[in-house]
Amino acid sequence: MTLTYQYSLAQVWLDELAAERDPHAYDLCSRHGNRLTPPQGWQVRDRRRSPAIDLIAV
Amino acid sequence: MSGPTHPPLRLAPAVVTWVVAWVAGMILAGPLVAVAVDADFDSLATQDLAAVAASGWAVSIVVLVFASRRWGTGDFWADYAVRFRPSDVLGIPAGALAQFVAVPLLYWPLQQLWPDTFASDEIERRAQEMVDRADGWLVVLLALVVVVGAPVVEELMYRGLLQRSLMSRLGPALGLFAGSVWFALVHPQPVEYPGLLLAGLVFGGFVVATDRIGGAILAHAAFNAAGLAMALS
Repeated sequence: MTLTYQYSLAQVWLDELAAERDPHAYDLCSRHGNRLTPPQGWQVRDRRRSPAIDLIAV
Repeated sequence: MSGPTHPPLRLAPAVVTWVVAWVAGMILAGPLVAVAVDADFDSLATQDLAAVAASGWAVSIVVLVFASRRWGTGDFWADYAVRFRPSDVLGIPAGALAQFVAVPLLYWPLQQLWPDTFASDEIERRAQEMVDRADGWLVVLLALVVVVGAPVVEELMYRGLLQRSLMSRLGPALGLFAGSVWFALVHPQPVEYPGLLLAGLVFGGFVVATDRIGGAILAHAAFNAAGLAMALS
């Protein structure tokens, strides 16, 4: 997977592994990416395509 | 619970019943209980979520009983088509398939077109937050809320009352669709609307096919159980 972030938004994005290298993006293995903990106050948005989506009708 | 099904309530009384139950249960009773247990209504702990949900459901049941006596036959089970037959067990695989297969297939093209809006973590946020706040025995309590309480009360309200009344006015197909849209729109997160519309169509399909809500209740329970299991994993 590929990690990108933006300081001004306090936001981290996880995407599918990027096809091209980008000095502002960081490629991670699944094991490390899944265990990622963002800095306090930051949010992680996982945009990887998950085959399953859990939805609860309550 | 295997007697004959009576015709549904007429549409106007059904809508009034829903409005009264919604206002009294979800807008008044729920927040009042949240205040009484000193809970943050926007971030409910599992035991508070259970208390708030149970208060809303209790009000809904009381309103449904009143409506049955006032506008129906007075036979609660018959007025809301609460019947079970062995074939209703088909609701279990249908609900699980909706969760595991149909929902991801539905969201896939939406995620291609609008990856930020329909990011999986956005769709799953509410389920994940519920699970994140539960551990130990609270997981059992959460399971009772989402796999037992919600399917029973919501199917009574949205399929037994509203969809059947809509079908009697609009016909089966349009009534099913209108009831499912209604069901989706009462949930708090717009990103969940497509998935919940689909779920409503699956649950409501059992009512169209069988004229009872037994299969819908089991499908709803299986759908939520599968979603809960995935969120816990």
